[in-house]
Amino acid sequence: MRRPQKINTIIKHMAKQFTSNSTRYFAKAISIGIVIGLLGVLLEWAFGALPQITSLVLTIHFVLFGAVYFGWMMVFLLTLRRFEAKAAEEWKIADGEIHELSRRTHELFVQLSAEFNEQMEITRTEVQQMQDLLRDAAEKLLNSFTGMEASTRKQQDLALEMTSLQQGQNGAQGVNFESFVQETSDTLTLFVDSTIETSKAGMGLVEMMDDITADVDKIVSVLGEIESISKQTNLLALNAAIEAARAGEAGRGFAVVADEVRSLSNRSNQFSHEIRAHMDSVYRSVRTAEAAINAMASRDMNFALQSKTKVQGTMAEIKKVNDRMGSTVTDLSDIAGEVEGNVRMAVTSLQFQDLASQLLNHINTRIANMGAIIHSIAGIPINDAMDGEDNRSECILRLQRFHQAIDQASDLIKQSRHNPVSQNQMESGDIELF
Amino acid sequence: MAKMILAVDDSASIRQMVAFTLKGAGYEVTEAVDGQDGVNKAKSKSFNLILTDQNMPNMDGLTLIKTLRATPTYKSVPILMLTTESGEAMKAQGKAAGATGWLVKPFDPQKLLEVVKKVIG
Repeated sequence: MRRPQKINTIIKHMAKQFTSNSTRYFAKAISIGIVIGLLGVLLEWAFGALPQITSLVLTIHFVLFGAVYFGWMMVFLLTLRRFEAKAAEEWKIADGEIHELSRRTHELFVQLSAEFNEQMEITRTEVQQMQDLLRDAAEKLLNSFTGMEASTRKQQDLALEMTSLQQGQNGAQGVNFESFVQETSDTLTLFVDSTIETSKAGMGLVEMMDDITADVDKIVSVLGEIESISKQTNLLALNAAIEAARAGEAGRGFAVVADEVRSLSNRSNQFSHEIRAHMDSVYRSVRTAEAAINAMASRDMNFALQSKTKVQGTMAEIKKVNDRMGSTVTDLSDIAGEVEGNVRMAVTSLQFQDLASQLLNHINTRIANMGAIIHSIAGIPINDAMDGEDNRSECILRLQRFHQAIDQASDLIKQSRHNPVSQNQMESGDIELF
Repeated sequence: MAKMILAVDDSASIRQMVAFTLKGAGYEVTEAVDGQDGVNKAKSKSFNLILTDQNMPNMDGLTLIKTLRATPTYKSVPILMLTTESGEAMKAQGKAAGATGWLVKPFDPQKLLEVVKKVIG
């Protein structure tokens, strides 16, 4: 059935019906008139019941009624035919407009489809770009965080190694820094004490040198006495020689003794000078030694005392550094733990890339489905070859195809309705073991 | 000898994070880029645990589990699902397919390690 023709067909049908009915009614009226006429004649002939004129009037009445009815029907039919012609003309114009509207709508859908496809391609490219950026950023961030954690662990290991070395826990090769410091301190104290003892001994030596100098002075003084005795002995020997010469022969023996005594006196004086010369030398050496010992004892004592103070100060500082090092190692260990925790949180949060990527894919699918709907609507074939009378049918056909296209697309839409990501926050997800 | 784990996910960053977490704890990790790749790798080597995503190209996680559960080697090997899917219906499907457990992304590395230790020691 060609639906656009329906109204025309109805009008034609109505006209046909009216024609048929009017003919029938006309025939009926004529027939009834003739039957009444015949019935009047028959009744008059049989019973003389009805006057002939009455029968004639009734017959004429029905014949006229039929003729008038027929006339009216004919008038109505003519009016209907004119209306049909006008309606056909109007429909022809409307058909043309519908065809034009349909063609324009189709063009609009084709254009919309092309436009949408272009936009969809751009969106897909941009979504892909965003996914690439997210992937790249997440990868780099993850590498950065894992690298940071590795560095922190290495730092912690080094700190622990340092602590174990410091505490001598690393086997025979390990050095106990604290005991090293203590040993150094002890050695230095020993050295300082030894130096102080040496200095004290030097001071004792200086005193001894003073005693030696005093003794030398006494010896030199005794030597003066000896030289004086020697001079007097020499003088006595000279007097004895004179007296012996004066005695003559009798004093010859005495003169020999006097010469020997004089000779002894000279030798004694000579020894005394030699001893004095040696003692002077000893005196100078002792003085030089005393000055040297004195200077050394005095200098070493100050240096040693200063060194001792310095060593004690340094040891206190080293102890502080040592203690600080221990607490620093503990701090480093705590920091490493914190960094590990933060990296763990970063690893959890960085999974946003996967979630975002899945959501973007889902958005892409939705856009693609919308595109498919528009594309299928734009793809509904159009029959330009049809004449004006078929355009209404064509429109209805297209509407049916339009519905079919939407029904097909709704299957796609149903498939993309499920969102794979339900998370709204980056808290770690539930765990369930079956 | 270190226990071997197969990590199946189409997201490179998730594979990287899973590998980083598990390798740090001494496990040996092999990565697969989708379900099909996961099945191929699982058949080429014997793993102690498989950790798989659900939504992947070529083959999804549920199909991977069903495929591997049909093989004698992986009849009883633990397979954990690590996915963004958190719906009860999907979990029920996973359980029916033979999954050992269901972990919803994002995962906390420490919790992942705890689960892995619990499952394979």
